[in-house]
Amino acid sequence: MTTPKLQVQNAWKSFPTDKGEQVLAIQDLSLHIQPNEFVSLVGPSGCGKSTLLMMAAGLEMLSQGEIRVDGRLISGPGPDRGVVFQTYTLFPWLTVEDNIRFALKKSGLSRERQDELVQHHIRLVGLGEFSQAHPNQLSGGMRQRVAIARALVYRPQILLMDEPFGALDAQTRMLMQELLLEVWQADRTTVLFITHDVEEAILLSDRIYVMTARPGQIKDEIVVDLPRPRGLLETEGNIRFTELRRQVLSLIHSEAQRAMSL
Amino acid sequence: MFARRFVFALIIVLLLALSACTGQVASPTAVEPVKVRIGTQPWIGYGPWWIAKEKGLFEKNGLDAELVDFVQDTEVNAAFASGDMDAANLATHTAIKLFSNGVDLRTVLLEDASYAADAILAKPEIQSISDLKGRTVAYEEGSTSDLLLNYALMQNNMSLADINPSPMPAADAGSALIADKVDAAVTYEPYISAALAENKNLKLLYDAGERPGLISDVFVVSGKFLKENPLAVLALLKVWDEAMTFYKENPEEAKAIIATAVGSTPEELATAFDGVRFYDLAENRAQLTGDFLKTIEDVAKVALSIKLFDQIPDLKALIDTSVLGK
Amino acid sequence: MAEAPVPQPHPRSRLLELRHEIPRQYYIGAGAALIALIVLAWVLLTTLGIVPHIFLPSPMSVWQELIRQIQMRILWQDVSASLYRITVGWLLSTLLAVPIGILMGNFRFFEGLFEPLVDLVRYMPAVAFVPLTILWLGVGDGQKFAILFIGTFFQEVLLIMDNVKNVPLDLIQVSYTFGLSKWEILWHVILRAAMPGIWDTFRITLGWAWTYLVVAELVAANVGLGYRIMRAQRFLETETIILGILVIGVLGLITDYLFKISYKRLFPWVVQSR
Repeated sequence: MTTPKLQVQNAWKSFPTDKGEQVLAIQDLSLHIQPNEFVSLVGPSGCGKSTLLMMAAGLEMLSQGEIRVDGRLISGPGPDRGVVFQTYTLFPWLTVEDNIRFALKKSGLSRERQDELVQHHIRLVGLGEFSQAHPNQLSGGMRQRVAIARALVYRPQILLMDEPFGALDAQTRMLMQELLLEVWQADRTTVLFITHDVEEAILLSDRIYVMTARPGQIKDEIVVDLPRPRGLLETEGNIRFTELRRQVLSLIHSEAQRAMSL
Repeated sequence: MFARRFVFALIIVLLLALSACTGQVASPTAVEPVKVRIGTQPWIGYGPWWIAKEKGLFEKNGLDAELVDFVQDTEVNAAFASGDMDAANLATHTAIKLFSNGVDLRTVLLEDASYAADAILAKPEIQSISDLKGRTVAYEEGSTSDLLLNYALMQNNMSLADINPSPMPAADAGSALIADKVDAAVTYEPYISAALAENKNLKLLYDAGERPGLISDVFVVSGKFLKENPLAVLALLKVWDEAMTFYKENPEEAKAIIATAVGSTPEELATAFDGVRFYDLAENRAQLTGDFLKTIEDVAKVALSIKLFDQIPDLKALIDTSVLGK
Repeated sequence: MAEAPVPQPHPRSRLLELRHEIPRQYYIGAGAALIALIVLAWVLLTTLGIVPHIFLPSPMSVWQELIRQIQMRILWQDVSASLYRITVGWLLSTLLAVPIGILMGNFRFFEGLFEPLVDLVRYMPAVAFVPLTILWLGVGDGQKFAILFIGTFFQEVLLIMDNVKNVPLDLIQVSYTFGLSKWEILWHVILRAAMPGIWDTFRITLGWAWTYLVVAELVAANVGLGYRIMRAQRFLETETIILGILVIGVLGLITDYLFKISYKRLFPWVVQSR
């Protein structure tokens, strides 16, 4: 058994409320992701999925427990873990190219090597013609593509994605899912993917963790044994896909009901 | 819900507005006293009016007087022009200035003359006005300080061109001299006393006593008010006289009242009071038909020289002794 | 088959729709019409003698005063002296407000340190500081810069603090994942992101500085727009007062416009929200 790329061990997280009390967001949660695995985390709203991602990124502190990357405890954010947020977070004053290049600032690579990587990733996400555009000239989907390219350009050990396509319309979302599959096929970076879209999770992932309602724990783990490479249209009507979908949905459904009544 | 809250708020506002209004309604008396609005400034030369207010002399003479504060003489101009002011206390040169601007006013009373209450102070090493050559002199343009400075310079065959003028408000002129940032300052009480209290070595180069009447104050009424209420104007003169009598007979109390009104204490103003000479009605009868006519010409000439106006107006038309004669 | 054109509503009936854009000529025309109306009222009030000359001078006499001041080079002296004072005073304020505002916006420690003092002094009228500034700095230009500084700095530093605080948190967070240190983030990310807001703060605060001109030139000024107005007040030269106010207004408009233009040039990447 190889060392997991990402290991979350008995994580607890509580937040202070305005009234001075503590609310427990995550309770004794453990999960692991093997190298080159694409793992999704699904669950009802407010279950703490984003919080977990932030802790894995090192942008939030655990109240208790451990998170390890390649066996080493993490102590803060770093270039070994790339992040893509729902809100793109591109630098508006930089062009697409400069945005991606920015991620290589601390890489120590030569100028030529940086150029190579940047150009490669621009083409990878299909924005070759827009390398000189500014974010305010791009659509939502294009901006997210830049965010993905930027998160991949410095070759992080893990890519953490927090509902990256949540803010996009249905058609764009479809295209982005296809793009992500394509991009991921190329170098198979280890991915932790947060979403509330069950079909998206099944389409993209090797495994799916289902979280309970708050305080979040792992309710169940589903292995997605659909063959790769996968395509959006192939999964339509696929029997196994439908079965998996039903399985995950029923797991979430009861948790979602619990979350509503909280 | 919104409409109800709005109506409620509106009622509150109306009630507040109403209470503000009713606070100003004067209680009616048997014979209606004549309302008169008098513009004034916190200057001890206008002191007797506050004695009058304190001692009920206005009511005694059938007047309902309101003393309205101004910061600058020239602001009275707008008040007169809009008919908002019936009477005012002004420096003589300001009265001439407004008159030359076509403001309908008449001088009916000479109130006071400054002797030591307007002065030129200087650093210890400056001995005389001629020593001011090339020196920085702080003073308030267009004010009595301006008149005094120019007169003093003229008397010494100098002009503003010979000194380094540093225009600023009279209060700041005193401060600037105390802080040793200028060589000399022209100012008036209480800033003179304040400056001398801080630095006893300051030299008094010149004061208004060198030409009595140059710096003086008059009481003016609008031509309209004079025409329509000659008896009220007569009453005002009587009030002044009675206040003057009180001042002479009860100097301590009188000074205390005036000091409070200008925002100071009698101790701080002790030298100020000594620097001003008041005129009662009897003295007025002599002055307004005699010496003052000459004085006002001199004031006009100096005012002309500092370009306060373009030409001297008809000074005889400015003074009205019709009521005084009675 | 050709389609019949869709009947458009008359343009004028759409002038008062909530948040609805109107044709440019109506937009500009409305503003121009209002100003023309005011000037017309001014002309009428003075030529018909409704308001006496000592209260409100006629546009013609203000114009004549303008010509006189130009011919005697008074206007040029006043404008350059005032421009000089405002520029230096405002620059002093800005040079201090930017670093302190940035510190306050990024570190709660500095916010806690400075905010009480800034909030307190912010409400103090600048004119009350005149005697103190004479004491500390004399009656030269330094004193005038000080008054302008006092009037501008305390507001400016708070505005800049807000500009910095408005930088989205996730921009900072994502920068940490690239391995940048907090000082690198401050310089490369926060400052760049806050710059448009800071530039606008410059525009606004320079506008305020204009309004402090009269107070700044109250003491020991022999030239200057503010000085000219105060003197005209004492001498009851109402044309000069009106002219002075108009000149200051126009100059303020010009500096405002220059900032707006440069904003568009410097920050074409800003997302304009309607």
